[in-house]
Amino acid sequence: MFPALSLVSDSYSGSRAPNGGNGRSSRAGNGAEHKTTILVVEDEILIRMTAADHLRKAGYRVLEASNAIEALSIFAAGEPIELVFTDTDMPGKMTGEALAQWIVVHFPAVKVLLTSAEAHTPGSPPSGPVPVLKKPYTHAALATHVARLLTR
Amino acid sequence: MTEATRKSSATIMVLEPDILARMAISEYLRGCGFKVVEGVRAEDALTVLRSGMAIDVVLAEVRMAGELDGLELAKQIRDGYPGTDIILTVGVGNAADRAAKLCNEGPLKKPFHPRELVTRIQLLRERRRTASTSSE
Repeated sequence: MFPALSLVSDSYSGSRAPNGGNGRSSRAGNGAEHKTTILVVEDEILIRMTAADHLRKAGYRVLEASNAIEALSIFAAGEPIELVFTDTDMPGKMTGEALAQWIVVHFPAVKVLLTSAEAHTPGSPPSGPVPVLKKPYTHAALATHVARLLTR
Repeated sequence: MTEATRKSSATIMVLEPDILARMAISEYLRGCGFKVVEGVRAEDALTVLRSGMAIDVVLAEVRMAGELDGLELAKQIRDGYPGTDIILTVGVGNAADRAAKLCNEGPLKKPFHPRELVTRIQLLRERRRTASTSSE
């Protein structure tokens, strides 16, 4: 009766207007249907939790993955992701940079923002134009980068 | 639990190793008006609690990877964090059912029936399966 979650969302090409800024809509239910979906990929729970929380307060629908493989699962499940904010340095079989490369190849319409504690990201030439937000970042800086990428 | 979840600002932590189930259950509970923190393993709950953040309810799958399982986590939470309730679940259907019960006590109307939550998780899994076989 209340399909608040869009069950069919196979189109990645649609560039819906980002609902960022203070774009909280005044709807009942969970309101996932008209919000821009952002995927946050970060293994450290406290960092992931606060970044995701901040982006939700900014009006986005935020999905969370604790590593790159989980992020691949979310893509495979057909979620309408428009931007991925991922840590570069994560344990596991796939780094954040490899995830960024995968997204550039398979979902070229999806924007990617990397974050790293290192001043210079190793392998930055192959990641090409993928922007990097240096850790520690302020939530204001995160929101600004995300909004700018989404309107590009 | 009723008292904990009746607060308009109640925070629920969802501990679930399966990413698609975690995502769907967490969004469902957000739709009920709760603040939801997502964790993968039992240690995540302790990390968040030790940080000083108040968690009203931890909804945890019994079987989790890592050094602690759900039962041991429940013991540690009962001993160390009396303000936090813990609900242990076995399997996704059970977790969806308990999430729906929490939702009944939550500040907002249930966004959809718990059966649809299970259906959604199944659909997400089916899509993932299809995507991974077709890309091989």
